[in-house]
Amino acid sequence: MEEAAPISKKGFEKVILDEPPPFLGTWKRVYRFVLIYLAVIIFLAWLFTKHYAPPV
Amino acid sequence: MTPLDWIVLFGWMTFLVSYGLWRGRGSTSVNQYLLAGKTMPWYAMGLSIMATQASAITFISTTGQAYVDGMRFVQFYFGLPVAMVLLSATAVPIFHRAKVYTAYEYLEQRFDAKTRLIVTIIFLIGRGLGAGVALAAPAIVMSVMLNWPFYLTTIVMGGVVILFTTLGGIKAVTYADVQQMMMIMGALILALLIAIWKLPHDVSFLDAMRIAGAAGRLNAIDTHFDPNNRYNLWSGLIGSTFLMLAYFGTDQSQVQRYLTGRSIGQSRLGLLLNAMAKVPVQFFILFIGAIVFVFFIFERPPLLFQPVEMKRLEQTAQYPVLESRYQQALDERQAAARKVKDGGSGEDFRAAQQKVNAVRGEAGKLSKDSDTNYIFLSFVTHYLPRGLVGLILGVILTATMSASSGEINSLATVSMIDVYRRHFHKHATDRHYLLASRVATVFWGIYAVTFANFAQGFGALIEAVNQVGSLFYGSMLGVFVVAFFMKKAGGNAAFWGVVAGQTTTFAVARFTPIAYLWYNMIGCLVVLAVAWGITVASRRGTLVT
Repeated sequence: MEEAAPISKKGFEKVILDEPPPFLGTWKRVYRFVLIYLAVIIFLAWLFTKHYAPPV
Repeated sequence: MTPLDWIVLFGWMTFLVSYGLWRGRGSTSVNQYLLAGKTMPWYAMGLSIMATQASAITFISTTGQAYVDGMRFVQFYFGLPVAMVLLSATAVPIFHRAKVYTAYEYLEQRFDAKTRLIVTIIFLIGRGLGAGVALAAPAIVMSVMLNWPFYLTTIVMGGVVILFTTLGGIKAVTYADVQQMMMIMGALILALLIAIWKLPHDVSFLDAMRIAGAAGRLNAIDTHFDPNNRYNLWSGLIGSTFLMLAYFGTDQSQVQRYLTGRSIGQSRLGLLLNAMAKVPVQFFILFIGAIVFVFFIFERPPLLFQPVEMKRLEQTAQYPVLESRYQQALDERQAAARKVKDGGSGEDFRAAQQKVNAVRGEAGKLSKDSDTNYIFLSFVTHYLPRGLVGLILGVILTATMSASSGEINSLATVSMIDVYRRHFHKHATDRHYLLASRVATVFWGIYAVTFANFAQGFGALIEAVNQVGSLFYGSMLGVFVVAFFMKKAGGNAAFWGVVAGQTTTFAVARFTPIAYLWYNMIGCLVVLAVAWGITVASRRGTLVT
């Protein structure tokens, strides 16, 4: 199939930078932080559930 | 609704649309219209992504769900942060570097035109059906609450969506979403505070928590693995991760949001904001439902919350008996709740609650509409102060518009970039494609309103179509995983993988009782297996690709 003509590349012409995150230094550390945060949230939600669970 | 509420409602809608259009002004090129000129900051992308997912039905249905079934629905969102991290590490840099308008454009760069085409068709079918439902489901509820005819509700909502999406493009949609999301949170916090404030003087907030817990409404986590149970920790972490990966990684309505970022880092931060905020926000919304449940223990709730169905029920022969049994059950429940407050075990309370449920169940059988969606709205319209009622109903209306505008915008983008420009008009000017994008937006807007009016007559259809996404997402996710990670896979492997994945998903949906949340994983794994098999066979010379 024939390739389509490119539309205006305004906005695309700038160099795409993979800059570091604004905190924690590297993206890997940020990802790790988000996953640990999720684990903490789940743990807190589990404690919450356990504390208020009706007696079996 | 008082005159003040109507003024606030229309004032809010006018402000939101005007603000969106003002921020979206100057969208004079395709890049600006579809990708906001790649200038969006991370917080706007993050909030817009959250607002697009949070249609009106999320708020009215989620609070109602917690009222009826407790908070376990929050587990559905546990896969979202995992998916956001995986996508930030993979899809975001790949799409940015590919310099594409749509995710499917990338598939042609990576594979071939036929793979791009089949995935484009899958998206247009799945999202096209979803766009109508996204408008129909809340419009049914809002038409009852505002006492407007259904067709008028969809036309007003759809008309505003078409107007400001067509004129302002994605920039208008995104900035309106930011305001929308902040107003939703403000309105929900106020609703919660008022629910707590209106509890009887001798029932404190902690008492309310104890009663909600005894009623099983604070059941946020269920650690037991049960494939028949839709919401538990494991289906949330595994099944939901696949669904979220597919939704955010392959659905243009989401991909387009983070493609508007001015850099890879900004797009990543937008997704990670969503990752960190979504679970607490859903927890909070469900918690409001649980507190509204306690509120209605001390304030007598109607037998049915749906006002039209309640009036109809009152005309039936069964009503006097049902009402009398209901009042007795409510009295017993209130007395039992006070015992829980004073340290009781809650056994009496649960027995009384079962009686309440039984009567409501019988009344529900005589109703034609789901009562769950009207619980929170009934609380809002009867117990919130004047002005705030109009604001919350206005916010719910604009939440629907926010979700619809995102979907219509993405459908228009794919129609223009992946269909019109790719297959029908390859060498036109930027101005021509901008006009085509606006025409496509109007087309999909009118389509959504029309579909919503047809869908309204088929209640079961709406539920079925809500699950349509899961039928298609698995194979879409699969082909992108092949693209990102199977470096040696070619176009034929990807194409036949999608065909096999889609066929298998349809077969599983048609012939097995497996819950729909698992379709995504099944479809994705079949695409991977078939693509891998074809790639290996072709490298051994047994297949020509």
